[in-house]
Amino acid sequence: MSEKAGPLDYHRKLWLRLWMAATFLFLYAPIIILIVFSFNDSKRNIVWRGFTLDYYAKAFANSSLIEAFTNSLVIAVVATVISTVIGALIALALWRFRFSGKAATEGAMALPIVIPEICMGVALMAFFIRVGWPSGLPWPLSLSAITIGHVAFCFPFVAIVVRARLAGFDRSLEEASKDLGASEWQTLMRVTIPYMKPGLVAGALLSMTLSLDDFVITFFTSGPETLTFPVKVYSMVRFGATPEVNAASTILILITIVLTLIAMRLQRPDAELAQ
Amino acid sequence: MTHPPMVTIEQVTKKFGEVMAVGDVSLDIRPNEFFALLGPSGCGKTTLLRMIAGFEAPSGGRLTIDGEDMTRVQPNRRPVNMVFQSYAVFPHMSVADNVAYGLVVTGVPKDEIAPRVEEALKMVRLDGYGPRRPDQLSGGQRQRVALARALIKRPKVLLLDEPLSALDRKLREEMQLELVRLQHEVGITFIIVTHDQEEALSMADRIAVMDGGRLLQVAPPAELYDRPNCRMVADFIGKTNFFQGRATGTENGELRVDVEDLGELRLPDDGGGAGAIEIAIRPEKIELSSDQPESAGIALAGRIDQQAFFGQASHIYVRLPSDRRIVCHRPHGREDRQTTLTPGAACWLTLDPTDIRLLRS
Repeated sequence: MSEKAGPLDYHRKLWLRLWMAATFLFLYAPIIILIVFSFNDSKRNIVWRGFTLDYYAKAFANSSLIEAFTNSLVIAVVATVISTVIGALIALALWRFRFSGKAATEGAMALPIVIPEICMGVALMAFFIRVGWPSGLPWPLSLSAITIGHVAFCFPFVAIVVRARLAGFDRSLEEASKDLGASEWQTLMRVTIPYMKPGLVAGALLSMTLSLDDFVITFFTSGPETLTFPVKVYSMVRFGATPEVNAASTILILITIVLTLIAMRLQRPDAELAQ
Repeated sequence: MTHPPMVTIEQVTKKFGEVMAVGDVSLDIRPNEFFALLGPSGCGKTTLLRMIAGFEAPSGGRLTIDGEDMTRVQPNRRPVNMVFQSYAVFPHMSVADNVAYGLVVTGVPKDEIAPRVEEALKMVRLDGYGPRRPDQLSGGQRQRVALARALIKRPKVLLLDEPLSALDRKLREEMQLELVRLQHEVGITFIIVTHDQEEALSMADRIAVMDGGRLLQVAPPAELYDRPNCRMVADFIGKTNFFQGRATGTENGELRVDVEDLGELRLPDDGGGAGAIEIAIRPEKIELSSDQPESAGIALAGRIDQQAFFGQASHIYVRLPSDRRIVCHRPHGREDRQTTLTPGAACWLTLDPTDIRLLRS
């Protein structure tokens, strides 16, 4: 005997289930099609012509694609590390201290999030030209301009995430640590940073993703000889989307998923890890 | 034989901007004493405690702990430990790691830590809880972790900031006894901050009552209850009936006072001379009866106004002809059958002049 669905039994309402299915379909169908068609044995890649791994082999053999991919990863890792440190420090300062111009600092910090990316790109390009940033440096220094550009728009995200995490921090935890004989540094390392950790991981992951797929700012700050993955894909698509592009994108999706899984594992309460 | 005080506070003041949180407080706290700082919220008691812990620097005055000047010493270099109101148990560490924290950060050898942690957990009756996480504990258990974590450092003074305010009533009473037992066991000075007068009265050896950043009275519980030195103390500790009056002169070593509703009384001379006075009478010192009493003492006629049952005693409010309301206590199970307590019923109140406390402002 089935009862009528109660007011909060959302999962038992048919139209809501259909709505949810439609949402997931809308979100994930393009990605699934992208992955499926990376195995398509067709150069034009419009209709399914049979399974092949040729385009993966091709993608791995494409030295300029691999180079762009490596560049992207190096930039993402370096920019993430720098952004996480800067963002965490700003979040700590804003949470902990009262100083004149605090509200202004908070607003200015969030600006790179609000400013249209195209403006950031143009501004950074103008800046690098104005200061005469050297181009044609040997790798990996040739990536420095792009990395700086990425840090500029990534660290505010880290700062905001970490600041939100710190809002729930009981200040007496720090006091208790000092009361028990710990120095400022010990307190930071043993109490404050462990508390910030989920925020740090989330912020780092966010900036990693933002950096990996950034096109606009990279486009404006890269020199003529440095390519990143999104820029390379863009130039490949211009000559027709072969399954090679799909294959490269699938690998990127895979890397992102693996990174996310690692981050989720790291965020898990230590109790479960210990067992 | 007097020991030198464990904590001395000399003319300590603390200002936050223009606000005077603690004003010119001087106080000695003895070794092995269970000392309570009592007062309403915002009276400066927590600020005073935080100055002893080192979290606030005094704006003026001097503070010593066990003879050493601690006025400007950082909290991690003071021989005191604190139990925080929120307990401040580190959420990302196990119970054992929490308790060991103070030893680990100060570089106590590893093989010494484990037995001391075990001993500390046993002391607060949490043996076997070492591997648990704080979020698996109840409020009372977290409190014990905070206690063990502070006591393992073997401080000279243990500071407790409203330690029981988050517990329910039954657990609170249990913990009050537990804290007194612990204090006897470890034999160190406890300073507790509380706004709960019953808590202070039941636990402390001496109580300092504070209001508006100032110290009003420092005395053992019974003395504080029986001989409050001002209206504020009498009002804050227990229930009290107040009467305004005037001292008119002395006679044979007795003070002649004229008090509203009570008329002319003779009280032991306090040496304060003539002037405005106030008298206070505790509700449990007032006898209630239906008929006019024959015994000596001050007798007042009135009518029952209201009553409230509190378990071991009833609080009975009586209205005098002057419209003043007086509260008296009647122990449960000792009611005489004759006294009717219906509101409006006529009744008599009797009090002994020796139970009257004279106050001057």
